[in-house]
Amino acid sequence: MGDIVDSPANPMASLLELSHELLHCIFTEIEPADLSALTQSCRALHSYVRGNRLLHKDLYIRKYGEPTTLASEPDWEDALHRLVKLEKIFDTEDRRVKKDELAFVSEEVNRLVKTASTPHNERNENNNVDWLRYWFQNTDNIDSFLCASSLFARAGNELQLPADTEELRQASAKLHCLYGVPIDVVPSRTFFSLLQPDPSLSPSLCTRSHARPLLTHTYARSKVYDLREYTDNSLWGPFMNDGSQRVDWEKVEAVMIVLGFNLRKFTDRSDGRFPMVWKDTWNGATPNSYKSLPRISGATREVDEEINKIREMALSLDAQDPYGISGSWMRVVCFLDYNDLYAFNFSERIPDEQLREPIDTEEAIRLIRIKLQVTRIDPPGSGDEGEEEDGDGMDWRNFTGERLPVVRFRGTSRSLHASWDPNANSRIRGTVRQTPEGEIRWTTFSIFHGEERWRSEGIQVGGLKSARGVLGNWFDKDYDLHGPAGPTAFWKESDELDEEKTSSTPMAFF
Amino acid sequence: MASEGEQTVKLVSSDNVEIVTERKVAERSMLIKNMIEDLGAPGEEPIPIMNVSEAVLRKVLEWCTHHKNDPAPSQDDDADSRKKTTDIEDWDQKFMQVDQEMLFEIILAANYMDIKALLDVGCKTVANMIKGKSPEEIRKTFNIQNDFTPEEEDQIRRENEWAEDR
Repeated sequence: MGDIVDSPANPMASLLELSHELLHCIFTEIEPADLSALTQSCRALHSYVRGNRLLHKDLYIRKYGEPTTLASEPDWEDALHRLVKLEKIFDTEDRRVKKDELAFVSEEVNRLVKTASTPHNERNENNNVDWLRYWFQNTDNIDSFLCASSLFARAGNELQLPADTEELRQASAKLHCLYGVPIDVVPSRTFFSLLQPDPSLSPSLCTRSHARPLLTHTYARSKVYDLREYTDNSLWGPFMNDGSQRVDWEKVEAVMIVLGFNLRKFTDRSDGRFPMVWKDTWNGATPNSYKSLPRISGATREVDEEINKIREMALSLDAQDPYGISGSWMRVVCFLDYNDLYAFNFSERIPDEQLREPIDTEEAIRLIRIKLQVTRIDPPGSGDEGEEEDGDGMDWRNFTGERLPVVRFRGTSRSLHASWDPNANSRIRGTVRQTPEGEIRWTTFSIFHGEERWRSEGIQVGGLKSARGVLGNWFDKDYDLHGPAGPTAFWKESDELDEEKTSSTPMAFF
Repeated sequence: MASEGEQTVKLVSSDNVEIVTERKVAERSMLIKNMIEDLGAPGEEPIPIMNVSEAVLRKVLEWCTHHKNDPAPSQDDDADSRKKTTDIEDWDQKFMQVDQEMLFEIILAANYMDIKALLDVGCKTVANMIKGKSPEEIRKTFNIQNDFTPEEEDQIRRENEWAEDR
């Protein structure tokens, strides 16, 4: 301080006479977009602002929070410019501009989500995510960026249209998955005004479902239960049909919409005993966003003997497991009655390229608590059990980042519904590994009386240790072309294994 | 000895005018507070405020008087409170309705005298004069000459594509 002027009086105090330190104090109070006009006003301010790393960094952090998990120091000036551009795109009312910028928006939102500080910090704040939440309250942004996958060629309202290229449709589906709350016909603004209650209509005629009979979930369901989607090249899971293990986000999106629909219905019917999940946008979509529930004290239950044995052996493995597997997870599985599934798939022959008709057949839902324990850790790129020598046979040349090990687990799976349901009480085993894209892939096998029966393939939305959890498909472990198959998801609830939480067992009524 | 609240101190402006003020008021300035602590006997020796003229010093002391009972700034929450409050309180806003030269004089004085809260208000006031303005409006507001050649102007407009309204 005190290094401002040489002469005691300041003959003409003005903006351009201020020290760089004071200019910094002032310019960190403006909006990032104002930097543009400043640099265009005169040479002195242009040369002060351009290339001023600290100014751009401070403005960035003040407005958007400090990014975490950065591999290296970002180019703050460029990062700030990109966010200003993103904000302008979010802010415009011109839908054509939004449509043209889907690729840019997708890239930036992915980066924001990936580097968002987790809400673990003391103040529980997460500027990136709050900022995204704010902009995605805007219906234009929802329609333009989250509803542009192939699904919306048939589903959705008149303003939700698929993007022009497959890459962009995938990008939009992924954004929808990260957003995390299934969008099932969000009426446009004009649509809302059309929906204003008309006293001549009965109340039920004013509901969304009547105003727009073609609901998105019916199209998503027709994709999820189309057995033609379950192929060897896609691992029968939410992957591209080319053996690359690249995630097919349109499949993940459809799974999310169908499960979200069923979970919401289940919550509605549970009289408040089953809390709504997937209700907060952008929640849990960031790496490391999972946080264990606080330990609930209470009567400890008899712990399963096998689990106990496994745990003793495995405690040290937990420390080496980068995926945070061991603990208690909630799983949801949905399925069509087998006759419905069969009729839907095989009653009529249609050309390979033709999509199946939308269906609103009611599905069954099962909620299952699975308790998992790491049993083994193999080096990155290891193949499946029994074929370790060969490796996984994947092409890792384009992989960036840290290669993580292949981790195997075992555990139990217990239905929260009537205990007599033979399909819900079983043992489970599985594997977690990276894909060459860097996504976290989960494989599970359900074991009944010593025999493996169902298999599932899924990917963890939001990446490593995300709170959102894993979305994917379940199917016959022998890949029966006639099914059954369906959507499934699981998300972690607690790192604890031995305590039942009475509060979240809602099944008395079921 | 009088209690600290009633003590007075003598300040001398750059144009050699002596101003007597409450010690508590003067100590909003960390510069003065530290000087008093170093000198030991407050009130006796005049304290020179070498870079600040009488008019500006009186204006600064007016602000200090109004804010004399504010909680003392702690180094820790300083960064935090700066981050959160983008608004300027009403009294400060009125206080800052001065001509531009005086505004910058206050900023310079607040910086020299180490009065963080006042510096903050001053910077925010200037920032508000910049927000949302076009380059031409900024030039007008701050009496800045456009010293770019037309070619330079073109080029700089192009490098600011990121900030264009869409």
